[in-house]
Amino acid sequence: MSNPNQKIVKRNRPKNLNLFTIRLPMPALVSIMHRVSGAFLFMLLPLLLWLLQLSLSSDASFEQAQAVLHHPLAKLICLSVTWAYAHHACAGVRHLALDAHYGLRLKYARATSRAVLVVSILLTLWMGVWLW
Amino acid sequence: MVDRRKPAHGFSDWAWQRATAITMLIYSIIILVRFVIDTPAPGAAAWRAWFTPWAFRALTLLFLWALIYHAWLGVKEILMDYVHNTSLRAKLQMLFGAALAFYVVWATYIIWSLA
Repeated sequence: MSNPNQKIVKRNRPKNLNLFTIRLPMPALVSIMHRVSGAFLFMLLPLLLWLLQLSLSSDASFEQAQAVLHHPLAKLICLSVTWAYAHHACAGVRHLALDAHYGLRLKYARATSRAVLVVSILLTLWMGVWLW
Repeated sequence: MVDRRKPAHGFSDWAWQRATAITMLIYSIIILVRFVIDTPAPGAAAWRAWFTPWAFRALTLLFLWALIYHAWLGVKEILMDYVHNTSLRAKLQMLFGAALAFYVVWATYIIWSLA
């Protein structure tokens, strides 16, 4: 631990903080998107609870919820919530598999991370068709 | 200083994160299947009727609790990674924790008032 060159090494270490020049490998992309989708869902949680409450309280509030959901922006938010939920769930299943030591080899790790992206987009499309 | 005689919170957080995730997965599959085989008719009455079976209400409440606790663990993890100032992190944890505690009460109230 007492490396006399440690300070110099630290100072000369190259830094690349330009995110646009970093090409993430597929598993890393899925990993960061897992976190982003989770944070996104957390932020939208009050909105979703509010909609659930509106839809269940009374006939008038149900219509109010319906009116809110008919807005194009609300549909877009619905789709992004669906995507975030689907992605987070699929990436989560992959995580559980990795916990159990399934798919640890690079080849499979890449394949399953691609599968997470594809399946969550398919689920979102299904929801989109159902919404419109 | 970490007291090594007491179990750390790391493992239980890890285990709870997975337990709540599996709860949510099971509920998600149940709700997808139910939407396909027992699609609720349009309208407020049919939508409320969809929530009449007590087992479904209980599962929904369990799902919402699992979701909120899962969110709490995730929020803590994200703050731990990105907010290195201890006192700021403590304040943010209090803020988000208070919000999530409120959501627990709110979600319980929503499902409870269906009875």
